[in-house]
Amino acid sequence: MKNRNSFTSCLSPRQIMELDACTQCGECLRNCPVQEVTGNPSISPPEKIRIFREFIRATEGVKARLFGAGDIDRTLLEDFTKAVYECTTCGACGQDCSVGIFTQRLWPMLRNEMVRRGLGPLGAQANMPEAVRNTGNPYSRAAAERFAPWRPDIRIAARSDIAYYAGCTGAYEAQPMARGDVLVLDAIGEPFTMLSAEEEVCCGFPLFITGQHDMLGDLVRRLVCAYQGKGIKTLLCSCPCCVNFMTRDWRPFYGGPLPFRVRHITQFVADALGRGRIAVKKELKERVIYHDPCYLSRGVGIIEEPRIVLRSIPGIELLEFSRHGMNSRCCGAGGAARKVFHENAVAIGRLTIDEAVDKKADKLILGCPACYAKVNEAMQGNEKQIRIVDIMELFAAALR
Amino acid sequence: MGILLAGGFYFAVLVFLGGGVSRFLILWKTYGLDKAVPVRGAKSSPGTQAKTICKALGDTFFFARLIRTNDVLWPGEWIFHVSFVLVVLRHARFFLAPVPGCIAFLQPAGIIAGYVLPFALIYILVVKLIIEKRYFSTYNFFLLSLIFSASLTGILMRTLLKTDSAAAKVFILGLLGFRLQAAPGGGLFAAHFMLVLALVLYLPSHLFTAPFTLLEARAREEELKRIIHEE
Ligand code: SF4
Ligand code: SF4
Repeated sequence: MKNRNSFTSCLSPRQIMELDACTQCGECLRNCPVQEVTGNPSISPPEKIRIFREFIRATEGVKARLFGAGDIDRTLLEDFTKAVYECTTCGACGQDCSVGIFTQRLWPMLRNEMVRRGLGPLGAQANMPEAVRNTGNPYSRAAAERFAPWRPDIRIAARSDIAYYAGCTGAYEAQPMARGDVLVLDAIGEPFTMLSAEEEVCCGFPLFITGQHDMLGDLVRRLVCAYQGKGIKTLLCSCPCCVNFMTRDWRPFYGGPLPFRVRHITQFVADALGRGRIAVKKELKERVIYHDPCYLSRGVGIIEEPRIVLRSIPGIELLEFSRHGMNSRCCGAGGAARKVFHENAVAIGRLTIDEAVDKKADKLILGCPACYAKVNEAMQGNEKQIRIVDIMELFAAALR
Repeated sequence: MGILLAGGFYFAVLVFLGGGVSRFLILWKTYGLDKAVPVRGAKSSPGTQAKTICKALGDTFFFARLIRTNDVLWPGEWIFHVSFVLVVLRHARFFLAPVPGCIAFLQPAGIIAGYVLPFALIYILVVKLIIEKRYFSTYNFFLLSLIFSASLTGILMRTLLKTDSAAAKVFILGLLGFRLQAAPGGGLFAAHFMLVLALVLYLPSHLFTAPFTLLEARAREEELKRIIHEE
């Protein structure tokens, strides 16, 4: 039974140490996208950590142990909740942190605590568990619409060593991306399988990142068992959020090691290029700039493979953002904050668009369905304009 | 005055120890609750592990992560922390009888560090408030002011308004042995002593936990190479 008064029951000892280790130096503010667009230090990492430490002290500190826990001001709790949900969980602060705090996982767990207290999630995020329960995806869309609008007429094996997971955001919100994925997989020619539209449910990431963990065990087990039934050895996915969650967190929610490995689609394609299973002949005389999704680069260290894929297209000139790879800047869509803090997300997205245009790129290459959806939205009404293309959408077009 | 200082001393020590115990209890309670934190891949080789530890030691003793993000602030922070440690070690002579050789050996360095420390603090303040004009937490401002004041009173006791250090030692050893002795005369010692007690009360917890998180961060960096890539 969890102590309702305690603020630490959702945290691991490592995370408690991390909270204690923050020196309040503020180095993490320099690359925080939310700071860039709001300039509001009261929602910065050191302030969030300071306030959460106050909560712990008030409930489990020396005074609280001796004389009983004090009441915590409701406004402070609400302000903290807003601050922890306004964050895009991009992890840039962790990258810059003087003491190495793993913020990409600390913030979701602090959100988890706020959910436990009935304070989080915020706005539309609260509808997600219900939507996932009823429809299998956080967008409340019908399973019938999951693959039908975008999946080309290609051969999907009933069983195979390899499976492809499209993911909800790719399937419903960034369809050119999911279409590009399957076209490229088809071109590589190694048989792959997919779950049916009813079986392929949410991977759990949106629930995890918004701190709503109740259904996660069930969801993860359901997917793992379904893939196990197809006899797969490798699960391919292009969505950085899904890949990150599957690689890092599926195991504890599943309750043991996964019976297959998870790989990002660019790893598979880069490998196919290396083995000569696929090659692009068509020349594409274009300057393109690739945006590293936070959950892919900082999250699981996929940095080189997307560049291998892009450089394999003859004639292409690959440009880099000033902040790229491990230091990439969030596109604004992360952490489900885009569902509530829409203006921040658009403003952050425009920073990426503007830099791409300033660097005179012809195309902005994205590799994440959430970025794809949000940056396209940020483009509307923006002074600077650029064509946005998903990496597999571009590669599939080059293969044709 | 001696009684007041003694009361403050025992109170500060109790709060400090109580804080430690309460943190330990929290960690104990959450032990084993490692949900949704990075899952370790295959164990790295002993060579890699040794490299990870060396890097973490570099981070701990040379603030390598700070050089990466802020090389202007780094010299101030590093000199401040080193001088602080040397000054603390120099003060160990008040708590130990007989004084161990290593502490005696460090005394000249401790004296120099005592003079350097306030300058390092001024450097940090200038970088943060005037050059960078960035976030500066109220807590850190308070802490730096406290250390600055303690350091100035310490310098004054050594130079202008000399305090009887033998009497100070008798007083402190008396506190440790629960046999209260008279505190050295003059308000400066009392001010210095109270500032240090305040510092004990507000001692930042990162002094104890940062080495672990730095090691953890290096291990995570190593793990990142293997989390989704082939061995
Ligand atoms: S995770 Fe990203 S958005 Fe959130 S506080 Fe850190 S840098 Fe800012
Ligand atoms: S950089 Fe790390 S230690 Fe410094 S304030 Fe940010 S979270 Fe805290």
